[in-house]
Amino acid sequence: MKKFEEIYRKHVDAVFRYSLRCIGRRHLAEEITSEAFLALYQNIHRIDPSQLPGWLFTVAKNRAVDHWRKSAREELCGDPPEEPRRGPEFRLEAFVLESKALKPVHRVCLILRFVHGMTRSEIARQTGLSETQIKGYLQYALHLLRKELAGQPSERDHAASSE
Amino acid sequence: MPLRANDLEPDEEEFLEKFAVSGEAVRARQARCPSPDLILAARSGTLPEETASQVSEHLSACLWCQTLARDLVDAEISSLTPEEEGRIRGRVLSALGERAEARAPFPRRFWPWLWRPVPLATVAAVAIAAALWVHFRPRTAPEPPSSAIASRQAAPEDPKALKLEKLAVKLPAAGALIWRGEARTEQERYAAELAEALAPYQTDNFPEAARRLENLAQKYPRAAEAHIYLGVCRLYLGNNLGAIESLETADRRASEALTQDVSWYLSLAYHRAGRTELARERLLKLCHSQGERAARACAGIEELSGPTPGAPQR
Repeated sequence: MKKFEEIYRKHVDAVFRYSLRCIGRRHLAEEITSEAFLALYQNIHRIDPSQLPGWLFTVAKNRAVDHWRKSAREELCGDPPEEPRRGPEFRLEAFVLESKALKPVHRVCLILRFVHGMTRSEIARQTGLSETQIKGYLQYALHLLRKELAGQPSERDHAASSE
Repeated sequence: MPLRANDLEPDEEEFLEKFAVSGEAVRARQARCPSPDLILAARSGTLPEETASQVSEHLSACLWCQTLARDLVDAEISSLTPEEEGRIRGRVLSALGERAEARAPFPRRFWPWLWRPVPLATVAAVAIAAALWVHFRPRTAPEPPSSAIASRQAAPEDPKALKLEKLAVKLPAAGALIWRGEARTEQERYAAELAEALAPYQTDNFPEAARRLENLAQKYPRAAEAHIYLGVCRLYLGNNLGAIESLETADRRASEALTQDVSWYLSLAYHRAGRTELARERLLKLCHSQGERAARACAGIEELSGPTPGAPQR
């Protein structure tokens, strides 16, 4: 049991992150991680420590494959959008996607909020962040965007001039 | 995917106003983007072939989704939180406790059933694990009783039949659960948190257990179990009025499987608080029931006030 505990502590974070990349949802990644370690417990005497965490990753991946196979998904996505190299949407895209000041966590919150239309609690479930953190990241990201926009023509000016 | 207007903060409204034109354009273009879980899993090799192909094709052309796919695996977002780790650990321990119960009567074909997330079944497994731990733990010098237990032992006025004993951790029947979309996830969360809250209860650390159960009862006000065990903890801590409050709350919410336990502990609480008539009323109902507490309830009534006419002879 002690050996199992050591292995668990050492690899649980990595197995969770791998499971998350396989399944896309945190609560499912928790389940898959639990199942991987339980499978390890059943087979602990047969596994060489050098096989870890690869062995755990394989179990997690297999569980994810089973899940995706069972879950019925209707139309997943439409045709890829055309790249807006002109037009007002390009400014927003440029600011959000190319700003050096935004960290990944800021961009994720912005994209999930304003492109995917998620509520803060939905973003929390997707990212593992708290709603308070998300609110803070969004406020900061918007503050950075506001600073970048300062001195640039506003979008209304842009839209009016192009009519 | 329209934004829900009543969810917006003032700075978000300002942002949307500033980018009204481009925001609408982006959302219109991105309306057919895959969901974030598919975006995240797209490169894992786990998606069915057709799905993977569709999502990959979309990703190759959509800058927003490419960015999201890259950023969602950033360490700050994808790392395990302490709460998640606690739930994983709870699940693993629960299942290990279930396996340690080698006398489990389930035939082999039920093992796959056990793998499915059955939220409150994990709490039952915690009970088994705890029972095994109590039985097999190293025998060292006996711990001095906590002040709560000491005070209980020092109270001579409890009738023998109404002696306070810890309620074993157990569950209502699975059929009492209502599984409905997001409620299922909440049930799982509750079960894991209940298991964690009951950990100090198993070792007679009633002050800590009471603290955790109070928080849990506030978080899940409709769940009976948190209120029941909180009531039992308060009895051990000598807080009889608090115990009555918790157990009366549990009484309004308890499933049939828990009703007798709630009535039993409520009668103890009433008795200890000097509300003898209410205690007797509860005990009488139990005495006339078919449950496992009936015999003790009848004995309790007799000790409180002599034999009760009409009580079944046991």
